[in-house]
Amino acid sequence: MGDLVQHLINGLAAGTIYALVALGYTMVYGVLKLINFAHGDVMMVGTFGAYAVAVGLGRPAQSSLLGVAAIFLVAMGGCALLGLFIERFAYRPLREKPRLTALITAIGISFTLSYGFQLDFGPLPGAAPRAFPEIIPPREWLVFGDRTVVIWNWQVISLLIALLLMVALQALVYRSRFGRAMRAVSFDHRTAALMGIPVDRVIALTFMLGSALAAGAGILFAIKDTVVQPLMGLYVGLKAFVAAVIGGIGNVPGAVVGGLLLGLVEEFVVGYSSSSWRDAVAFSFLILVLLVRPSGLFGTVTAEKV
Amino acid sequence: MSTSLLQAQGVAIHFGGLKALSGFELDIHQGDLKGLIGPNGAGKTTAFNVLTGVYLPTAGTVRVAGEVVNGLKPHQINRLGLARTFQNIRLFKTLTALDNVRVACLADTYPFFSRARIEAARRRSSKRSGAAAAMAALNNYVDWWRAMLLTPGFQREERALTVKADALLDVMGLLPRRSEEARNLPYGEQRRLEIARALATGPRVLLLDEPAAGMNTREKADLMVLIRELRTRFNLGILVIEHDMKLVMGICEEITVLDYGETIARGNPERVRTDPKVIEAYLGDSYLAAQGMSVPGGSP
Repeated sequence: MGDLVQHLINGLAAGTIYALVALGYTMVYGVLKLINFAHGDVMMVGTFGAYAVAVGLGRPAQSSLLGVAAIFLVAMGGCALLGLFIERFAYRPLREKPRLTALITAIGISFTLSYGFQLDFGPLPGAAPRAFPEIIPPREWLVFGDRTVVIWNWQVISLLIALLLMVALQALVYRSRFGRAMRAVSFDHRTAALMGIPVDRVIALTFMLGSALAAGAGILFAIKDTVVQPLMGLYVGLKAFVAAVIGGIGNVPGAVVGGLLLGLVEEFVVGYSSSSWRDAVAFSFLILVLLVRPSGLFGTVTAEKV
Repeated sequence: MSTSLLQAQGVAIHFGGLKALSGFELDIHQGDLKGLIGPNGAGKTTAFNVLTGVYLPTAGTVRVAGEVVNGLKPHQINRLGLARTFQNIRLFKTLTALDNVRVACLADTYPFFSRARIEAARRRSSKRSGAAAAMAALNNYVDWWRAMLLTPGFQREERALTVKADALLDVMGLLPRRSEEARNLPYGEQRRLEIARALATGPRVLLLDEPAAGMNTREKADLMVLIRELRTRFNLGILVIEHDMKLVMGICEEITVLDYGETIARGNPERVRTDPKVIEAYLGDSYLAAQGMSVPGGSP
């Protein structure tokens, strides 16, 4: 019983991170019908930004409340700008081109970032994994029974931050004017433009938003994994993409549910069988979901009109 | 004479070797109700697309409220006061009727930049100011924290927006359907919702692309009355593309006839109706030979 609860907690903690990254995939897909394969790598860049700020701040400052806030703000703000830059110079010129062109470009950016960051050049970090500073020094937050269930402070904090970001996003998409414009653009960007909606700006803002969320998720991931390395984006990004597809890509609540489910599935596989099975089961789970519901758990079936 | 709200001078557009539109002239003032007719593929919708900035004209100039708009983005042209509907209905199908209208309302909201600052930026540069437009857009679209916290100011603005949208829905007789998703509305109501959405952008000229297509005779008659009413109520100039000759003849004061992208006739309904070129374009010269100058009765 204790085991089960412990796995549930670990799974949720991992799942919220997947969910945050998946939200970026799903939002960009929503407005552009583009799978932004560079999204995971934007997350990686954000995590390295956070790493740089944390190392720069030094030991006592990096784990103070202000220090942590600064780390999040700089990483998320920086990533928002990176997302804006990528959209402006890589995707916007290709918007009226066949969708495959943008997709290949996305893969190109992904590799440019993940392998570019392996170069040992000036301030660039180099290929070796490095320890992420303990910006939230791990402490046991709650211990049950004979240490059968241990909840760590970072798990709680990470869960809270993730939930806060998700609630903010939900309000943004479903309540604000920007959200309405975003949904209109997602439905038909040409018509939206003719109704006075500045489509380019809405798309740029969507990229900034998704990228900022990815940076936040990256920091939480680094706190959990304690290690950062340039290829983390490919790996986490792919998993989050799976989560977005499981939930139904383009659907905001779907991304959250998909992320949590994937986190739980992985944790239970690791806990009850072996960690070597983790990825195999994660992708089998994707195949299973798609067999039963081809457009994902929350996706709407788009019937082709004949 | 009032100033021209929408003016096209020598507008042409070529797609490769195809001349979809050439030498197109148009002049719409406040209170005008003009028609644009022609057989299928004559270039009517192409004309709308050039006017609203979907296509860039190959030659000629389009002016909205006196300003040359060639090369401007569609949303900028819309903001100058030009709104349209679509031949094949293009509503935001999964949004409610109310949200379809609200999304098109440019709200007066100033969370970042004050109205005075935007106006100042607009005045500073004689040309259209990108800075002013960006500030206005940020004011309008980046207020997520207010949406999240439901601040009193945000709620007040949302209420004002809803009141405005409801009023438009009411004019179009759609108020009882406001919470319905657009795709679930019957065809005629979808057409009217498109007009409500176009009006929400605060236009001075309204372009209606076959507003009566797919409607029955009774609905068409109601729509004619409604279009006339809109013109006076919102001080609009209106340009209607229509296939149904009777409808255009019934409400328009001036009609332009296109065929293969060329303007073949222009004038009041009576003149256009009896123009041999128009009859030929619509019914073919064999019909003309058989019938003499008889008047085409309805849609071809």
